[in-house]
Amino acid sequence: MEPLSFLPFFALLLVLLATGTPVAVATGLAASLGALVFIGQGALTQLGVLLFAQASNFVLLMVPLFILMGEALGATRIGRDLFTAAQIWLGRVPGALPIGTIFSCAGFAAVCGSSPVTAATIGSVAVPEMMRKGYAPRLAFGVTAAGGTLGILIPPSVSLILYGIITETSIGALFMAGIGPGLMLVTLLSLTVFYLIWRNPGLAPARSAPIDTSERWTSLKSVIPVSLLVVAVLGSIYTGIATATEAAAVGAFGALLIAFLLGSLKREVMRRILDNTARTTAMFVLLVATGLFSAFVLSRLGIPQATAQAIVGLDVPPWGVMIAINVLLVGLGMFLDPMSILVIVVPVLFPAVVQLGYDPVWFGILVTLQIEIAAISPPVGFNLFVLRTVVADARMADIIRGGLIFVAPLLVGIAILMIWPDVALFLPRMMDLK
Amino acid sequence: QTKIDMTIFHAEGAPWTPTEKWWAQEVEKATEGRVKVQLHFGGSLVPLNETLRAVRNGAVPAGLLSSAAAAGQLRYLGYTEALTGVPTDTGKLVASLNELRPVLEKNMAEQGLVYLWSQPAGELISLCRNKFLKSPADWKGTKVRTAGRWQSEQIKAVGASPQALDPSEIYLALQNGTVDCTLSVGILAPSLKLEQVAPKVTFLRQSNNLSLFVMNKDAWAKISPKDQEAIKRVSMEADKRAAQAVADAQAAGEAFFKKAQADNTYKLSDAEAEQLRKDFAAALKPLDGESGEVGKQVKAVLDKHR
Amino acid sequence: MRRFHAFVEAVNGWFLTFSGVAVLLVLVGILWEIVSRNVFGLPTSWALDASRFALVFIFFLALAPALQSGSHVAVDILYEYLPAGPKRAMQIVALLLVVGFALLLLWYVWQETYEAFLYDGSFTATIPVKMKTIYWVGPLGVVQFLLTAVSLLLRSLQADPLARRQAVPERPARGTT
Ligand code: NA
Ligand code: NA
Repeated sequence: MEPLSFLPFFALLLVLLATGTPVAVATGLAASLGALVFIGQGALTQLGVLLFAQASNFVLLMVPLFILMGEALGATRIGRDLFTAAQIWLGRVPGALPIGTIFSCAGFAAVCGSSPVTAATIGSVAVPEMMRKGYAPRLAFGVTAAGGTLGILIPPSVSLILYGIITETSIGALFMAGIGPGLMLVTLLSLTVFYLIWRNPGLAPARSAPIDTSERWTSLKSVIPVSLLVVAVLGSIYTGIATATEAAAVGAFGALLIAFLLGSLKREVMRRILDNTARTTAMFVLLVATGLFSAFVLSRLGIPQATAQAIVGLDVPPWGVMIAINVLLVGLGMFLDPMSILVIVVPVLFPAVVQLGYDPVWFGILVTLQIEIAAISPPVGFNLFVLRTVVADARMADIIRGGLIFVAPLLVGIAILMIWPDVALFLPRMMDLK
Repeated sequence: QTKIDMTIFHAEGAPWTPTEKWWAQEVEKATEGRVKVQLHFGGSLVPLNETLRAVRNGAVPAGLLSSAAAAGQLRYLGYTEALTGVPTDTGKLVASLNELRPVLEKNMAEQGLVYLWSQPAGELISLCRNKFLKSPADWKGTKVRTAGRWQSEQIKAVGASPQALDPSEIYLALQNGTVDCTLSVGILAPSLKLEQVAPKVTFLRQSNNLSLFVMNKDAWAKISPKDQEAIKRVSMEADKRAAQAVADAQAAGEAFFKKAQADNTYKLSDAEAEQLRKDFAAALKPLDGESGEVGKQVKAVLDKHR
Repeated sequence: MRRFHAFVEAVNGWFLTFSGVAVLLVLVGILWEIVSRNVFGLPTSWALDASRFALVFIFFLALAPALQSGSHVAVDILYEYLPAGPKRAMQIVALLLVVGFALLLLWYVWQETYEAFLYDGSFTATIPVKMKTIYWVGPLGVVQFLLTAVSLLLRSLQADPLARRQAVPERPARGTT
C-alpha cells in the first residue's frame, strides 16, 4: 500500500460528512466501502463483531458514569455558584469576569468529562453576565469556548478515554497526564486575557468596586460540593476502595446526591439526566465502534503501517515530523470535529509517532490540545456552536472572532508540551503509572 | 501468491514472538513463497476476545486464539484454559499436543476453522502485595485478580476471592490494595513490572492458558493441497519449538525474579504444587458436564500425559 | 403516515426509558460491588460482568432515540450556510445515507446475533452467560434505528418542519468532546 492511499478514504469521508450525516454513519459507510472494494465481503462482518464488542467493553462503562456525573451537576446551580465565587474573589483583578470564567471552567472540568457541556454550563451564566458588565462580546465568547475545552484535558475526560481505547494506552496514566497541561492552559488563557485587555482596554469595563470580605468566605461554600466530589473520586482510587472504573460510579452517585441535597433532583430532571446520559452513551459507543472498524479496514490494507514507514524513513528529524503532524492536525481541526480526529486520524498517525520514539501518553495529551483547537476554530467548532445555542441573540461573527483569538494560547501550549514533555509526563511518572 | 493476515493478541516484544516469526518464515520457504503470512501483533487488527468470531466469519484469515477467550464458545477449551490444564513438562506437553491435534482439527472444522498449532503460556506465578501463596491457609480470604470463568472457579476452590479487573487496572489496584494478589504468566511478568507494587512472587508450578493458531476455512481452501501439507508440517514442528522456547524463557524469567528480589520469591515444593494441582482440578467438575463428548476426549488426552 | 411517525416516536420513548433505567442499574451494581468488597470483604463475581451486559442494552436501546433527537454528532456547517432549496436536498441525502447505514448495520448485527444462537456460545466472563440472552437486543435496537431513519426521511421528503427540528438537539450540548 502506498503511504498516501488513505487520502481517497479521507476525501470520501469529507464528502459524506459535508452532507451533515452523523459522523459515525459517515465513518461506517466510508470504511464499509473500502472493505468491500479492497478486501472482500468477509471484512465487513467485523462491523457487527465490533458493535457488540464495544457495547460490552469494560472500559466503556466509565462513559455513562462520567456523563451521568456531569449531567447531574449540570442540573444544579453549582456552575452558577462557581462563577459567582470566582467573580467575588477576583473582584479587583483586571478582567475579573473572563478570568473567573476560566477558573470556573477548570473547576467544573474536574467533575465533567466533556468540553461542550463545560462550555454550555459555565457559558450560559458567564457570557450574559460579562456582556451585561460591559465586556466585548468576542472576549466573552472566546474565553468561554476556550475555557470549556478544559473539560477534556482536566480529568475525567471522555476523549482521553476514547484515545486510550483506540491506542490501547493506560487511561489512568492519560488522566494523570492531563492535570499538568490543564493547569498550564488555565495560566495561558488567563495571560491571554490580561494581554488582550492591556493592548485594548476597550474590551473590558472599568474596575468594579472592592468586595466585602464576609461575602468572600460565604461564596466559597459553592466550591465545597465540587471539591468533595473530586476528593471522593480520587480518594476512592488511591485508598484502594475502588478501581478507576468504580470510581466513576462513586462520582456519579456523589453528583446525584449533591443534586438531591440541593433540591435540584426533581422527577422530570432525573428523567432528563438519564435520557441524556443514555443518548450520549449510544452516540459515543457507535462512534467508537465505527471508528475502530475504519481503523481495522485501514490496518488490513496496511495503510497506517505504510504511513509510519514512510514518515520514519523521511530524512527529517523527529521533531520536524511532529511539527508537520501538528500543522496537519490544526488544518484538519478546522473542518473535522474532535471525535472524527480521534477515530479517523489518530489510528493512522499513532504507529508512526510511537516508532519515532515518542511517548503514547504524551501524544494523547498533544492530540487532546489539538482537538481543543478543533473545537474552537472556525468554520466547524463544536464549542462555538454550543455557545450560539445557549446565549440568546449571540452573533456568530462575534463567536468566531472570539474563538480565533484563543487558538493562540492553545498553540503556545502545544509548543510548551513539545519542548517540555514533562509538563504532561511528570505526574504519571511520579505516581508510577508509567 | 496468497497473503495471510494473522491477528495476534500479544505484543511483538513478548517471549512467544520468535517462534511465530520462525513459523511465518518457514511457511513462506516451504511453499516457495506462494503463501506469505503477515503477523499483526498487539491486537492491532482484532482484539483478543473477538478473534474467534473474526476468523470464523472471515473478517481476518487467521489468528491466535487464547483458550480463555474462546472457551465460552468452544467449551472444550475450558480444559486448556484452566490452571494446571496442559502438562508443564516440555516433552509431555508436545506429546499431548500431537494427540490432541486430530480432536481439535475435527471439531474446529465444524466451526469453519482450521487448526494449525499451539503456543503454551508457561507456568503460573502469583504476585502479591505482602505474602507468598504456599498453602491453602495463604489463599484463604485473599483477593486475587483473575480472568475468565474457570480460573475464577479454581480460585474460589482454594478459598480465595476472585476479583475481575480489566488488565489496564491491575497495576493501580495492586498499588492501592484494591486486590492483594494477581496471577500472571511467569515469562511475561518481568515486562509488566507488577513486582514494583506486588513484590512477593510465588512460583506456583501450574500451567495455564494454551493459545491456538487457527485459520479461516475459506482462506485455507485457497491454498493448494501441496502447500497445505507443507504448512501442516511446519506447524507440527512449531509445536515443539514453541514448547522449548517457553521452557527457556521460563528459566530466564525465574532467574530474573530471583536476582531482582531474592528474598521475595518462593517456589512451591513438589508436595505443595501437587496439592494445589488437586485443589484446582477439583473445581473443574462442572466443566466435565458442560463440555460434552469433545471435552471428554480432550480431558482424557490431558490426563494421560499428566 | 402520521400513525407511523407516532409509533416510531412512542417506541423511542419506551426504549429511552429502559435505557435510562439500565444506566441506574449499572450505577447500583457497581456501588454494590464496592460496598460488598470493602464492607463485607466479599467481592461479587457478577457486578462488573453484569454491568458490561447492561451496557449492551443501554447502547442498542438508546441508538434510535439518539438519532431522533439529533444526539449523534454531525458536522452541519455547510448545511447551515445553504439556501432553503439545496438545504432540503442535502438533508434528504444525509438521511438517505443514514437509512443505508442502518440497513448495513442491521444485516451484520443480525448475522452476529444469528451466530450467537447457532453456536450457542457464552461470554468470556467470570459468570456463565449465554451470548444469545444479551444479543437479541441488537437487532431490535437497530430495526428501531432503521425505522427512525425512515420516519425522519419521510418527514423530510414531505418538507415537514419537524424533520429538521428533530434532527437538532433538544439541548445545546451536542457530542461529548
Ligand atoms: Na474533565
Ligand atoms: Na474547528
